[in-house]
Amino acid sequence: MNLGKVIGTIAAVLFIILYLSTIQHYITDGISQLNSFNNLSSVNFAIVYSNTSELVIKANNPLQVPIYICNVSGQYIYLPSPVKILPLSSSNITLRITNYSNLYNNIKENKETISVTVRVENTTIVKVVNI
Amino acid sequence: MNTKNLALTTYYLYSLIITLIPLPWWYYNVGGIFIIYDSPFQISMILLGENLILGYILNIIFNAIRIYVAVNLGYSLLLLLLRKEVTKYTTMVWLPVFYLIDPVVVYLVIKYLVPAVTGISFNYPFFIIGSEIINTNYQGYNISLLIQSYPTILYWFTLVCTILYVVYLLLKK
Repeated sequence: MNLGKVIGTIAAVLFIILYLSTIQHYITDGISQLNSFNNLSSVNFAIVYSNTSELVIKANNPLQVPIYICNVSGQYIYLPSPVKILPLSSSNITLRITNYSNLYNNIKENKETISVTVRVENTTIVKVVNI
Repeated sequence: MNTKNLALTTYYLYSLIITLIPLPWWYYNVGGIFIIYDSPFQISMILLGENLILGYILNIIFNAIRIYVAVNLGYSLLLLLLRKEVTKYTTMVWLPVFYLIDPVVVYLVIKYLVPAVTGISFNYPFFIIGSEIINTNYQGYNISLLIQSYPTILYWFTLVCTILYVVYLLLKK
């Protein structure tokens, strides 16, 4: 071990000690930040309004990045055009109902399957739900 | 100073400058959800548009490594310039090369380790530089992610460290 390695190690250790006081604060903030990501499941939907031809759903976006609802399609219900939900805000999504009574019967018989496509940045998530 | 020592001096001086530049070497993006900018001396991680605070703690350690490497390069350079002795400090020779091995490790982890542990399997293609789409199925969700892995402009300059040292070894022969 030469002198350079000794000085280097001392300098590196001194640097870490210098920042040691801030680490505690970073750990608390860092962990609370990670916990805030656990609330991601709070991308929630609530029915605002519905009639025989349309269904209005309010969706909120708890993320710092926009969420795109690209496609919603079922046998008797669909999304006419993609919707962008801005970061940290909520937006209304209007779904068109093509045949209300058939939709109602399908839901009653648990037969209506709806495919939902959501995009966040470069990630696309597709989920088929049965309602 | 003879040519071979001149090559070694250039290697030390150049490596020292590269080490002190506070910019990332590599950019890694997982579906825009998780983004990493890193070098052996610094890292920044962005999850869903937010800078991860825990990354700052890692940065303290990474910067300590920067200081250690810089001191060693400076010391070796000083000894050479004072013509006291020729020391060999080769960390900056293999660090840039290590970055090309890194995606191989990521590939092996995602392809074999992640499915073994979590049961989620990915069709993860093998690539070092570029972008690829991977698809997976998780709890009924079909997820497709665009993975991007690119070196920054600085990375190509770091490879000069390796080249300079190889030149020195060739001259020494």
